[in-house]
Amino acid sequence: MTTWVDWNIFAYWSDYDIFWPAGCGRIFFQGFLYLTNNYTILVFYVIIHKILSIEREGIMLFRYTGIAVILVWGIVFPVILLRLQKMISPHNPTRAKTLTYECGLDTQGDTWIRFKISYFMYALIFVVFDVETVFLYPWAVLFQKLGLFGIIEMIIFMAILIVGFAYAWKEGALQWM
Amino acid sequence: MDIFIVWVEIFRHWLTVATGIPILAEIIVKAALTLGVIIFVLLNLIVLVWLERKLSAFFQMRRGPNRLGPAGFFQFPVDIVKMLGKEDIVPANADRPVFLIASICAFLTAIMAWAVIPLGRGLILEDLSIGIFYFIAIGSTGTIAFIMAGFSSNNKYALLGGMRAAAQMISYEIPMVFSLLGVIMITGSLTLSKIVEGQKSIWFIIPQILAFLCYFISSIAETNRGPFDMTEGEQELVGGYFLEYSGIRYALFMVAEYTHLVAVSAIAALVFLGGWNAPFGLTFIPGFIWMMLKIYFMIFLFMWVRWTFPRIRIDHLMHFGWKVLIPVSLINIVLTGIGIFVFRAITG
Repeated sequence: MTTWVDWNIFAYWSDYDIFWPAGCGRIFFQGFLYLTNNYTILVFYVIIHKILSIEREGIMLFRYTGIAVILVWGIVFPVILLRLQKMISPHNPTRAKTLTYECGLDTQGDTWIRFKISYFMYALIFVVFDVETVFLYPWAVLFQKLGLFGIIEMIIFMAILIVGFAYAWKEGALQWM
Repeated sequence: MDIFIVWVEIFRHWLTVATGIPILAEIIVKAALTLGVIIFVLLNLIVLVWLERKLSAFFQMRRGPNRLGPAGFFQFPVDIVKMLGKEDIVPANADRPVFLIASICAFLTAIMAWAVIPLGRGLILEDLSIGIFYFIAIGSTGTIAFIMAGFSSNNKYALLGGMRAAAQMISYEIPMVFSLLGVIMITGSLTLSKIVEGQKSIWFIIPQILAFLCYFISSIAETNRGPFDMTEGEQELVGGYFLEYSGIRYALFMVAEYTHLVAVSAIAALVFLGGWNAPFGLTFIPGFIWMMLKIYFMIFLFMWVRWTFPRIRIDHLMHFGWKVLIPVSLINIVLTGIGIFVFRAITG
C-alpha cells in the first residue's frame, strides 16, 4: 500500500473481460435493448466493447475524461450559484441602476472606439514568441537525448528569433507610447 | 492519503462492475473527484481571503476583520451569503450575452487548471503526459475572460482594465513559460508527477534560482496582483474589468482570481520547491501536508509582495517584462543547457 501503482491493479481494463459476461451490466443492457429496441444503444454497446479490448493506457478518450468532466463542472457550478442568486435576490432594474457607472458622471462619447496601437504591437511580438514556445517545449523534453546536435540547432533557431526581437526593440515596438 | 486513493479505486471498480460501462464509471468517479477539487479550492479560498485581509492589516498596522468568528475568520463565508442576496445588475448599454458569459468563463478557466495539479502522490485528477503544457495553455485562456468582461461592459474604465489585463498577461506569459523550460530540460518530462519525483535529491530552486525569480515575478503579473494590478487600479480605474459586475458575478471573478493564485503557487511548489518531497528527511509528516505548507509559503510570498510595494506604472511594467525578464529567462535556458553538458562531462 505504499504507492499508488501497487493498487492500480483495480484499474486494468483487461480484468473487465472476466467480469463482463457475468456482470449485471450486460443483463441491464439487454433488458434496456429489449425495452427500447433502439439501435443507437446497440451501436454504443459495440463501440464500448471495442474500446474495452484495447489496452487502457493507449486510449486518449480515457486519459482526457477528467478534462471533459472539469470543463462541464466549471460551467455547471457557476450556473448553480447564479440560479441560487436568482432565487433569493431581488430583481428590480431601474434606469438609474442600469446606467453605465463612470464615477457618477454621465458617460461621454462612444466606448467601442479604435484603441491604442501599443497593445496591438505587443500582441504581434507575443505571437512570434508564443510560436517559439511551442517549438521549444518538445526540444526541452528531448534535450538530454539529442546531445550536442540539439543545442546547436536550438541556438540557430533562437538566434533567428532574437535577431527579430532585437529589430523590434530597435524600431521601438517595445516602447510604450 | 494513500488510503483515499485506494478507496477511489475500489469505488471505480465497483461502479464498473455494477454499471458494466467502464466509461460511465470513469465519468462518475471523475465527476465526484472534480467536485472534491472545487470544494477544496473554495475551502482554501475562505482561508486565503481571511489571510489576505489579516496580513494586509498586519503590514499596515491595522486590526483587520475581527467581528465574526475567531479573529474575523467567518467574514468571507458571510460575505458570500451577502453577495448571493444582491441584485444581479446588467448595464443597459452592455453587450448582454458576452457580459453574462464572461464571469462564467473566468471561473471556468481558473478551475480547469486544477485538472493536472497533484496535491500528493497520486492525488491528481488526470496525470497528463503534457501536464505543465496544459497548465500554461489553460492559464493563457484566462485572458479571454478578462477582455470579454472589459469589452462587453461598455464602460471606459472596464475597457481600459480589460485591455491592460490582456497586454500584461500576454507579455508576462512569455517569461513564465521560458522560466519553466529550464526544469523540463533537466527532467526531460512534462508530467508534473515526474518533475516532482526528479527532485528527490535536490529541489530545482537551487540550480534554477534565476528561473524561480522570473517565474515568481511573472506569475504576480499573470494573476493581476499588486504591485502589478493596474488592471484593477482602484485609484484610477475604480475596479477595472469587473467594475460593472455585482452580486455573485463579481464573486465569481474574485473566486477565479484566488483560484488562479493557488494554482500558480501550487505549480511553483511542485516545480521549484520539491512538491510533496519532505525536506531534511522529515518523512513522518505526510506528503500532502508538505505540499500544502509549500503552497501556503508561496501564497504568503505573493501577499507579502502585494502589500509591501506600491503599484508601478504600466510603461514600466511592460518595459520590465520585455526588456529585462525575457532576456534573463532566455539566458537561463542557455545557462541550463551548458550546465547540463558540464555536469554530464564531469560525472560521465
